[in-house]
Amino acid sequence: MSEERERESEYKKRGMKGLASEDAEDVKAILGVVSKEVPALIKGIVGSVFSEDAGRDMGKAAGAFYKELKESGMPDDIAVRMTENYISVFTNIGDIMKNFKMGGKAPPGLEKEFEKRFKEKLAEKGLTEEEK
Amino acid sequence: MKLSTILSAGLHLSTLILNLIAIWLTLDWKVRKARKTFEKELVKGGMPEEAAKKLGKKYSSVKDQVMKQLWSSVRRS
Repeated sequence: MSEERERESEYKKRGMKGLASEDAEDVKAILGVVSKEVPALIKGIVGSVFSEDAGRDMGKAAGAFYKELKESGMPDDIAVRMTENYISVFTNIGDIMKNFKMGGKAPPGLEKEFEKRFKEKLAEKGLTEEEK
Repeated sequence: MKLSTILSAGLHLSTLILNLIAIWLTLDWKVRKARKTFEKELVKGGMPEEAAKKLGKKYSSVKDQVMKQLWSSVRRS
């Protein structure tokens, strides 16, 4: 008997009550993992941008950039403005997030392009659909 | 459904919520600390203090940007 049939017969024996308790156990297990992993993940992301070390590293990089500009004879205001632009490379997370649309549709033509390339790769490796 | 299962799931959920609140509450403090260190390093590099503060403000504005985006995405969904 396959595993699926075994489960089905077990469900029949135990009825809906058994099903519900199994679902509840699953939810409990999922919540257990999520409650540990999600905060750790967020802490990691936040820490990579906003921590003493991250601030120090970014400041060192920007400071060195400014120093080099000044040493090469750049006027003060331009050097500051250029350093500001240099920092904005790291700080434009908001713009990146704006472009990152969750659940959005892929640009038109992208799916077809992907399919075409996928088929080409399969053909290159001699794994076309006909051969399967 | 066992009562212990519900209680344990509720406990996990409340732990998750409490952890998220703690992260949110400590975020400002972390940002402030990171900003100070950032400004210090800029001044060490020879930048005038005023300019360093201006750049520090820009650095800490990332938090506002991220929070704004998060809230707007939550509202949209």
